[in-house]
Amino acid sequence: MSSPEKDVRPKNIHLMKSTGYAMTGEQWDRVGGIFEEALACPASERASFLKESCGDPAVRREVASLLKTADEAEELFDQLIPVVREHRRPQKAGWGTRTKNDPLDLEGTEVGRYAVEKHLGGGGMGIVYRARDTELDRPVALKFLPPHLAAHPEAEERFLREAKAAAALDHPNIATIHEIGETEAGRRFIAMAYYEGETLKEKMASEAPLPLEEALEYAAQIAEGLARAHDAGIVHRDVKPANVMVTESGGVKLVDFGLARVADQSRLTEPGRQLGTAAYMSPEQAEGDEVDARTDVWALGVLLYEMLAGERPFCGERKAAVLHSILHEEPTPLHEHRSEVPAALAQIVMRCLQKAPEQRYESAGELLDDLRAVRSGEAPPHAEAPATDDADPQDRSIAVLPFDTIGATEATAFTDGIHGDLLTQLSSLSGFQVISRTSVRQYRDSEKPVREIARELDVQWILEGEIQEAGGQVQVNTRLINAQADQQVWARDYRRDLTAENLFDIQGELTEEIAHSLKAELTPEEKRQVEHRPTENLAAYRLCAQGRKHLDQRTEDGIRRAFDCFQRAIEQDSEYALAWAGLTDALSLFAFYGFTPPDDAPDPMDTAQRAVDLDPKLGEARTALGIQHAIRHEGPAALRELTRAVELAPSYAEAHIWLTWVSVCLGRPEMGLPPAKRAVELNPLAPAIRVYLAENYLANNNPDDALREARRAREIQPEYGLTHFMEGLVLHHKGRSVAAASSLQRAQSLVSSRGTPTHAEIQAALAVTHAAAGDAPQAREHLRQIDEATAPFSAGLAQAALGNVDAAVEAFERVDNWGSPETEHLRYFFPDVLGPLRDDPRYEALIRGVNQAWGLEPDGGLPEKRSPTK
Amino acid sequence: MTDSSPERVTTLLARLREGKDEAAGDLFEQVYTELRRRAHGQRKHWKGNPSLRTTALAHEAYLKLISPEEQSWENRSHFFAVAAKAMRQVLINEARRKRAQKRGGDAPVLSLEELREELGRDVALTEERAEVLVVLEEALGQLEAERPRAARVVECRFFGGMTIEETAEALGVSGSTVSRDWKMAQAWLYREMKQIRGEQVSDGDDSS
Repeated sequence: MSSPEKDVRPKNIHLMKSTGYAMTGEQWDRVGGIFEEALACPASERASFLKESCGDPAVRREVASLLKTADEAEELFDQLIPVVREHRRPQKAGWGTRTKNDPLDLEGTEVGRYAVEKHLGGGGMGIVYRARDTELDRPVALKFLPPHLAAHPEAEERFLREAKAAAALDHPNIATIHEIGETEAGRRFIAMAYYEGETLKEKMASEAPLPLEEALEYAAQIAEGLARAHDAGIVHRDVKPANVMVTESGGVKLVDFGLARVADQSRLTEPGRQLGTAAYMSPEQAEGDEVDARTDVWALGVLLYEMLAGERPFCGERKAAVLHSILHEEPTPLHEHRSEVPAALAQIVMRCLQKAPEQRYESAGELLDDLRAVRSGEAPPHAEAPATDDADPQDRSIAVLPFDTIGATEATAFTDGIHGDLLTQLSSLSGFQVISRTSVRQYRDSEKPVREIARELDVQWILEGEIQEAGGQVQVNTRLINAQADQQVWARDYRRDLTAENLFDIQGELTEEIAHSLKAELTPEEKRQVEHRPTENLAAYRLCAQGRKHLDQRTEDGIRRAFDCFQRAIEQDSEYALAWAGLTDALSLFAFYGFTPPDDAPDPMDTAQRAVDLDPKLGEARTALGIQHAIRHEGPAALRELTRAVELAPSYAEAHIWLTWVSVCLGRPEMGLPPAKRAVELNPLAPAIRVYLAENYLANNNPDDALREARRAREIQPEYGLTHFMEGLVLHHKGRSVAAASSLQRAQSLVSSRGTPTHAEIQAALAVTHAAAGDAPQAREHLRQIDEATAPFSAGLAQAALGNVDAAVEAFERVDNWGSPETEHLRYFFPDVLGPLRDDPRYEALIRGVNQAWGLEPDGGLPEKRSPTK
Repeated sequence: MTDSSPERVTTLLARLREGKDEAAGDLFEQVYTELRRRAHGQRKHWKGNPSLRTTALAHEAYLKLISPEEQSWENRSHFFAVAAKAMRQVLINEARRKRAQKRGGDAPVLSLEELREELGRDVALTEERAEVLVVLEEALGQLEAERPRAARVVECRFFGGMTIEETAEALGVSGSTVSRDWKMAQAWLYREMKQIRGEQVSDGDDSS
């Protein structure tokens, strides 16, 4: 088919890259609008339509060019869609398809004197082919740097240096290196002996755990090879099953000496590229510290553990969890996996797995001595592991997993209510770290072992249980588990008549039991609080629980239902503080999301105050009030209430987050840091809260820690725009404007039009980074993308980046709502851009205005004395 | 329980990008089905007031992300987009593999027009079709750089198989924007693909 119109464009327009007419968003939309209308026109009228509707000849040409291919394009895409639908699901072909792959396109070619036969595989460290040495007529393995590493000259140089060092190692347990060569295309490779057999990884995949004798044999051979290398001053750095070949005769060959270093180095320049498995990394590698022979000792310990236990000592679903485990967790004792493992052998493994390198074997040689001793039934001479610390008895970190409901399905909200109340009580105990409800909620119905959950949340204790409601009675079964020791400490079952009093009594007794087991002494005040019954009215209690559950959905419908429940709870018991706090939270959420609150909605400031008046010691109530003050930018009052909330409920994450935010907005970033850290402890798996901590570090002028937190957040959730935005800001602070721009662009591609951060904020940050990189035209382009009317602050920031001080200040003066992030950005960020402004008297006036907008004295001080807001 | 936690989905995506889709199985298809079910279950409307965002909404976004199973719109749309991205990646990985299997022959390359006529007979991923998809990926990369929103639309519509409404919901734009972007992007990509493949843009046909 063809487009019927005459093409009036000059011929060379076809050769023009699409970028030849680089459209801004606005132009794209305009072209799109005209294009769409033109498509709707009968073909014969299109030309005249275009002439009428496009003033700009460039736009007209573009529309005409697109129109020309529109029908063909649509047809092609329509035809392709069934193919896409068929193939967008991954093929379950397994590795079979992979070996057919020929990533470097070398199969069937000759590389020097080697005839390349088959791609064998390979990962981050190298791509391996089987080849035949045509001169000596023997099989060899050729290892090439993967393309992403070959692009780095330093990586290539290191590849060669390490390969040469390893080539000098002549040992039966180290794979023989024949030569280091180069293809005609200039690609460097290592020619190694080819061994028939399988890697230890493949072996373990088919038979794990391994027979004791076999595991010991492999470990000893690996240790021999490593000992030879360590003597020569070479550290392997990446001992793992995939790097251990087991030949058909049972001999062990270690491959890839020192190559990890090559990839390590390049990782700095390739963010996001994950090195293979983290499971064998030593703590010092995980921390990015220097490594030595003891790192190999660690890895061999992990490997030996895995061969014996059939599972790895440090595991987790995500890399971050694995690293966390490596750094902070003790492995399950080997004999729990396999009772026949001799104590002496278990002791050897544990000595390898000491977190501190100085507590491990000095080198593989010492380890080898011990392995040999075990094999001959003697006492291992070096295994005397330094005494390990027992689990800290003072560690009062606990996660209360969501309770299961037995029987009536309807009781879930009720069950959750009891769960929530128990958390509220525990949260108010000083010296406890109670993981927040939002972080434990994801383990509902989870089948993960308790140990693993404890590891992910970094807690020592776990409480779990079930609740049953039947025949006017309630049954609560609970178990306290010492997760580090994987031991149940106790089980407590309660069966009482179903009344509000009894429910609170059960919670109070449980709290005291837990406190007792965790060796915490309750203060008289805490004891009073624990014994306190917030309501005597069961219906009110149920409604309040129901309300909290609805609120957690964060949907308009959920918030409305929650509001309803809290109101009805208050009708049942108007003295119930938690219901008033919940009502306030519902009203706050209406405001955040821009939903219209019900007509009869009370003023949330009144409801918050009511909650506090009813129970001045309730952290939730203080937080609700603090949030209300914060939303109104009543800084000092917000600070006061939230500080109090944090004291009252040390484990209520929401209070910490808000306290952080208010502190930072009030120009007191140092006060914001402790609660931000605490919030991360309480919500270890929430990337957003880590981003928040990163922002705080940056506000405290600590870009190194900020970068670390931003990156951890990214590891937890790589596709979350805000983390990339924050990483961009931090990198910019560190003077790395090119990397910063790339992070910001990533953020841009991930954030939807109504997400956080906004389009304008990203554009402004991009303008700043491009200006810093000396690309003023690009910075101007980003400035153009900002609508100054709706985003005056971002516009001002971009102007400042371009050196237009007057325009910047004028834009800043137009900001009528100094909220977030404007306040933080003005106060702390972009020192290179805003710094020069800071001498300008108008800038000082701005800051005074911001201080006043937040209820501070113009100089930023807290007002001397102020009557309470209500 | 269907594991559609954000960590799981994004880890999957990272693995896909490295070409490791063998291990992924059809997990993401499950995720996708699950997301779709939820989207139909609870539609919400954003009527937000931008100035409020500047005070407190950012916090809300943080809190919401804490609980992966209680998806509210921002998360959900995020996952929709991610699911479509995953499908794109899987398909392109497959197309690249297909192309890598046989190289170096002088097989005539069909023009896009010829290919179009040949399409529709079956759904096999032939070498020619694989080649076109790889070229499409390159063109899409260009579009991504210039008009990320339009590229997202293509991901959702073409790779994710989502309707206009679903795409609008996922990307937080209006249906008419999606519809316009989709039409524009197809024409734009087609033109770009022709250029990449060294084909003349079709003015041979239209002398009159």
